[in-house]
Amino acid sequence: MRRTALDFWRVFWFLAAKGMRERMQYKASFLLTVLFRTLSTTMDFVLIAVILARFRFIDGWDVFEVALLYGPVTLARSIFDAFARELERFEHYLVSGDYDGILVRPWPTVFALLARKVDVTRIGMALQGLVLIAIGASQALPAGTLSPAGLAYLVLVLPLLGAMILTAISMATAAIGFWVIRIDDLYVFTMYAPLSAAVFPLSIYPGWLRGLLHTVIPVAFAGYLPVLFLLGKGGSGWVLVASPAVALISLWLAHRLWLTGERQYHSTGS
Amino acid sequence: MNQHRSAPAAAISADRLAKHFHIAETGRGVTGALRSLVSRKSRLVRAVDDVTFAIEPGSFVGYLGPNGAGKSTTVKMLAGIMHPSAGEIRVLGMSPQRQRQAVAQRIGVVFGQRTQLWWDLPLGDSYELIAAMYGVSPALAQQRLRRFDEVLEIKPLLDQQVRKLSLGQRMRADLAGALLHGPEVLFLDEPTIGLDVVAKAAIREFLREINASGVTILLTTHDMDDVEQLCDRILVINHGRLAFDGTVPGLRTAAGIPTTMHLDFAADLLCELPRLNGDIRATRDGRRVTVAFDRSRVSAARIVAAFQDCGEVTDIQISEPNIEEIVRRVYTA
Amino acid sequence: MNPSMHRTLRTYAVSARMSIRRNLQYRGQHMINNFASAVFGFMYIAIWRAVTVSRPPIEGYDSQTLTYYIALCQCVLWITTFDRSGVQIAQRIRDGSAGIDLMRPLGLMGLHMSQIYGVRLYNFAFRSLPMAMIFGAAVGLPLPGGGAPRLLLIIPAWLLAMHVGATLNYLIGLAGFWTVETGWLYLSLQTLILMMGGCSLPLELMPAGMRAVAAVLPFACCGYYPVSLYLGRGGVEVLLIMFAWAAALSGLAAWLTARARLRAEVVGG
Repeated sequence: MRRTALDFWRVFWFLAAKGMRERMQYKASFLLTVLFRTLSTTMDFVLIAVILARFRFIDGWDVFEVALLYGPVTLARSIFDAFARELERFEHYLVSGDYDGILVRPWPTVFALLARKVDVTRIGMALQGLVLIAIGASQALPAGTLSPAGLAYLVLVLPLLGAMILTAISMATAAIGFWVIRIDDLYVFTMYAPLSAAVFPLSIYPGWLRGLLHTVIPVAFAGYLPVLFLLGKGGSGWVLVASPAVALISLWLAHRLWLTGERQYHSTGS
Repeated sequence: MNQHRSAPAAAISADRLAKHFHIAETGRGVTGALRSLVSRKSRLVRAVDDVTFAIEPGSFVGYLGPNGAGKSTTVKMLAGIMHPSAGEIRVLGMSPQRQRQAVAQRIGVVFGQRTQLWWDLPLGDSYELIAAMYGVSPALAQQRLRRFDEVLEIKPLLDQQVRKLSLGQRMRADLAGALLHGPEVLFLDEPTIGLDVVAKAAIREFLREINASGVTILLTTHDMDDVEQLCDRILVINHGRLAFDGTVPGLRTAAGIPTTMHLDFAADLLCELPRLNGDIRATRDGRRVTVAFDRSRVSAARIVAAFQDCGEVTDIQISEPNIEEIVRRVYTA
Repeated sequence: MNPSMHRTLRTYAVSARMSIRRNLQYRGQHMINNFASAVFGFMYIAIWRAVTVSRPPIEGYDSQTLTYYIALCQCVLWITTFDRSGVQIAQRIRDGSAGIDLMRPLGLMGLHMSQIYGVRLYNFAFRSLPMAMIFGAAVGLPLPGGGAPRLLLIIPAWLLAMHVGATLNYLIGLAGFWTVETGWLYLSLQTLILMMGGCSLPLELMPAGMRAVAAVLPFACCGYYPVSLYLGRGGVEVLLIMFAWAAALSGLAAWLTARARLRAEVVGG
């Protein structure tokens, strides 16, 4: 029986709905979780807002422009967190042997793995991302630095591309686990640190880090480069085409690495 | 209608199956570690070595072996988790290595200590998900669950989160989950481990029914009662090779451990202990005679008849050798 | 020293040593993690550099000073927070596996505080110091400002910072007697320390309202005060503030411990 992409999505939505219903039963805890997640990411932005209240510009970006960068990346992150977080627990699957349970399902293994957990409370972060975009747009639209089309790109397209790139990074890191097993610490270097760095204009970082974030861990295409162009601060329109291309290519590369790693698993077990 | 049906193809077959691992030898201490970086010496471990068997559809096969013998490696290869180093595997006519998803659609797997259900969701949701994943219509899924519920009693568990279930409940739930999509072959890895007597009985009855309905079952276990009550065939693997392939009685014979008969007499014996040409070994302790014999060589009736002249028999007991002893005997053979 | 006091202190020493030993087995992983943690420090340094470039110093802070400030904060944080001991204690209290003798409330607090201290001491050696070396190599770290006599201020300050952080952590552990949501409490505490403790920006650079709030909270003891003293800012008055907070929090902890004991007796441990 051939599986179509529609089947996969149906199962993901099913999981999201079930997960929601399950969480809602513990209303207090659910609200607390969403609230807290939203607050903690807001705190990070409040910090930069406080700094910029005093210092006005960070490498030529004011607080509203930073919000327009912070927002889409946060949105991307919330989508990624909701659906693809299980990849980060891959070390556990390898160590406990639970990965065998993934392999006996009639599904591609990545989807079977992701389908183990869909956490809808993470969407709370999406609200914060949207609020930030709204704040930024409230200045940029009237001032003419951002066009309505640009805003649409920021809200609708960029977060999806960002989620794809994050998924690719996560998948590639997890794939390394097929050889090395102990990858939990690796995630800090490949995901958490770059993600924290990606919400600020990449021009503030030293050259080697900038290079890294444009190539091996291409979060630059999930935020900085497109926003740079859409705000008229630099770059060329090619960025709007390059970003989707980078997203697709990195997913494809990550998947190939995954398949290679899986072959390794088939031959040596765990 | 075709009257001449060809012999059914084996449900599971392995042909000269082998699995080798290269274990890197790391020397001890710092110098050893450094040396291993340079020399890369490794030794070859033959986890599974030249194993051949064929299992007909509808069989219930017990797969025994000491730990580290290659049991779980074999099952992993059959389920498509691991790829063999050499040899061929066929499950339902397909290669689990090359057609993993197609095979997965038609087999069920239950790992004794790990669950494949969704931990945080109510059990009913897990079943809905499984039905959706395997393309089972809700109506059919309901029908099957109702049937499973008759023996496994999972209905009261449907609203509970899987992580809140006890081990016995979870095992029953896992079994139902593995069979929900109507697989033709079921692989079970130590399904009764850690369960109490009642839970084991329920699961065994369920497996019997499932097998009777035509599902081929391969059961890996250390529990000899499982084997005795369920399996019509036994494979014993040791040091990567098949030490035995046959039936439970055949295993007894192969192990060479005799059946024992106790005869209690009303009064002291009036005769010498018969020997029946060396087919039996009899010893006497007071008014009880213990006879050790091979069931396939001499029947119990003959023995009783041979003792007729020794006096009045008040009680006869026959005990089969403990299958643990038998298996141990085969392991150490 | 009477024998029972001697025995008690020995117990605390053993408890602390056990914490250290427990963490020692992961020191390889922790070392790798140090580099990862350092990245966040470098990020904030980059932000501050970009923000203060070609500007005159504000409140005495220039780009270089802020770099040192952030780096030192990253080091001090490992002895004031970044430690889940409190949450673990709370969990053990909840499932009763701690087997604590609740008849001696001081024993309860001493036992757990010594456990937390063990972690802090380990962290100082295997987290703070290596982090200092990493930052020192990357951006340079100054020697304590003001020379040797100031060490009389700086060393007690860092010890007090460790104590305040440990006590706050212990309070989270105690919360386990009353609530299940200790994980959230810990995260909230960490956020408060990072925000209000001046770990991402010094108090002088905060907006007036925020600065006022931060000044009356104990969290500055976990970051701003010890680092400022190290950099040569502030004097004895800072040390006195830290001491006052340490005493107040310890008193609160002792009182709450007694109440916890009462509650446990009522509820049934």
